[in-house]
Amino acid sequence: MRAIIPVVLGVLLGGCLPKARVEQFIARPFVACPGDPITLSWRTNGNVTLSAEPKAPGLGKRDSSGRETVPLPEGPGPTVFNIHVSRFLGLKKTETSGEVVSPPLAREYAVVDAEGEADFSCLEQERAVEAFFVLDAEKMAPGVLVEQVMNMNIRRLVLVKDGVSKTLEEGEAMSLEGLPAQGRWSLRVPLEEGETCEAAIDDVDGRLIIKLQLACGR
Amino acid sequence: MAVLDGIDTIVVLMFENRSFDHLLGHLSLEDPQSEVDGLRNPDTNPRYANVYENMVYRPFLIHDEAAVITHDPPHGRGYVATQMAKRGNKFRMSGFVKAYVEYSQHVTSQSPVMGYFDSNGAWMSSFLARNFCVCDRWFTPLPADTQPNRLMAFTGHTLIEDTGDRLLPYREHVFDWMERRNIRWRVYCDGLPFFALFGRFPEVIGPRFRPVDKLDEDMLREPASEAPQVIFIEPRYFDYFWSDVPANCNHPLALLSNGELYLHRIYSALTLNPAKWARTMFIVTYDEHGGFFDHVPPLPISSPPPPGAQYTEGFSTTGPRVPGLIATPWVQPGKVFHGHVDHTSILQLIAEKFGSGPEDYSSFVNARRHQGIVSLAEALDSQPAQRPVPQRAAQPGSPLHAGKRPPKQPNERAFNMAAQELRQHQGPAALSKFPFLADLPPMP
Repeated sequence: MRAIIPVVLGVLLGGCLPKARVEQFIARPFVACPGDPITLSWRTNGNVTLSAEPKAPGLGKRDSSGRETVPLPEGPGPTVFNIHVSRFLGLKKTETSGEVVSPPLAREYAVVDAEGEADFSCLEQERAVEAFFVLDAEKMAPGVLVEQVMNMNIRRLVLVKDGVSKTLEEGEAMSLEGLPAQGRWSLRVPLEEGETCEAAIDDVDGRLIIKLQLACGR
Repeated sequence: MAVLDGIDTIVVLMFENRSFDHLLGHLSLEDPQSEVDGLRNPDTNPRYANVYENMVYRPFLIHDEAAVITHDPPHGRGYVATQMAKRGNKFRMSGFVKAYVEYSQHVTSQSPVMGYFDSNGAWMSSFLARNFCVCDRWFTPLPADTQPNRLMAFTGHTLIEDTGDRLLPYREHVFDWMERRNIRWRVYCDGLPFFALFGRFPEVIGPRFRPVDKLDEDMLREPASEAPQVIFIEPRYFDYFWSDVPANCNHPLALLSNGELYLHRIYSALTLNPAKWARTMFIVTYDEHGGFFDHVPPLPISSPPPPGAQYTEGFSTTGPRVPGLIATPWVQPGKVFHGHVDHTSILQLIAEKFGSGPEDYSSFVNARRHQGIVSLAEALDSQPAQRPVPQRAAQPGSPLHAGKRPPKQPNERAFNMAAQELRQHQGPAALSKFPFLADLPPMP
């Protein structure tokens, strides 16, 4: 009976109260090396408790909104930063988490030909379709390097990064000798004889994908 | 259509919130010879790749659903647009992870919306697909969430574009259509039926709504001449938030294992009486995709707002694909039906069987038919398969469930509202039929 009372009270009272919300919770950059600064920013409507797995120093209870930087803990596998929001003495609560991964790891990156995503350019003179993406400080820590890149498309791909240009056949992998992962990645697909740009984009299902083998520079 | 002469009973079970690739994509992964347009080389094939902040997310096998699916993925109209990722008249189907993160703020390497079940996780759906017919072009009628899509299923049109904490506005229900034609129909429910949200309370407490516990007995004992010609099976909804019993409707965070067990229970009941089963068509589908990924772009089906609609911007496409299964002796085992269908294909089927033809339902349904949506009768074969009724041993469900909780989502509050009104309008009769109404918490 004692166990039932809080449940019934919770249902009765809890239904009348505004729910706890995490409007924003971000742990960035998404890829970083142990010791790199990770910025947590959050916006909620309740009392916040931050935690991490593996444990990161200095986390705990916080105001409903905030921003702070913690070092990425050492340890194998990803680090999961958790936010727990509580209102009305815990009658309303919610939680979510953000993951930061650490090299060595292989990860695919892509551009998509869709509204609000990348713009694919049709280069008439060069007879190619081109798109680019930028791995900025929000996505990638500066110390992360690229050991190898692989073309994941069913087409030949010309890749340009930091002035280095590489041509990769379908499924081909190539060393990039420790190029920084941060920065602008340009991907170009040459057109076949008589092929339109639209047909080439459809041929790759509207996506250009590369796989990066990432490492930590230190 | 002559083939429908072999069918006496149409049975419809509509689950909640799973996409085709999520539930049945494994059919082509486990059997590459299969015609099913499901998962093929998902680790490398670009058409399954979802992209969030330039990071690629691939489909992955769900081993422990409770650990993986911790948030209900978004599936309202705005989020579905993000998921389908439009450019011009193309849909890349690459934004499911983006919508999920924007909604839940949950970032993880294996995004829950990219998870799929195999034939062990979706054991009963997989069994029905392999032994009967799977429809791999069954779309939700609208790129929206529960209430508009269920309105499309049961009325052929919708006056609303999203799910809210309200009873549902509508014009004519399929129940009315059947009443006018003296078609015998019945609803079997496990708890409060979704149909309560239509506000037809005297009907809900009347003899046509029966507890699912009676299905076995009815199948065995009721003479065919008195048995219902159309049956709607209702699962126990996740929105029925004041229940102690785990939901089996498959709406996250309800676990699929319980829905699969319920599906087994219904199939077992329907096949108890071989003579009746020989003339039964059992249709299983999902009201909407629930925010889970699917790789097939929607169909360009236009749905302008009907007169009296509470929205002004019509729909120009269907929503994503959902699982569709047809279990009946009137299909060859392992059939894959590629015809374009949506929930209104059920209404076409009912009109084709009990009216003057598939165009006998309504102008709204006909408008979709003229744009390529066909009747489910098209999936049937002209001769029944001659074989024993396929049987499958049950796998256990899960005792885990979200438990009694305050209502969070609009549809949960709509369930609460419907239950309150049912109790208020029908009094002791409602309590007698649905004793759980006595435990109903007050409206928030």
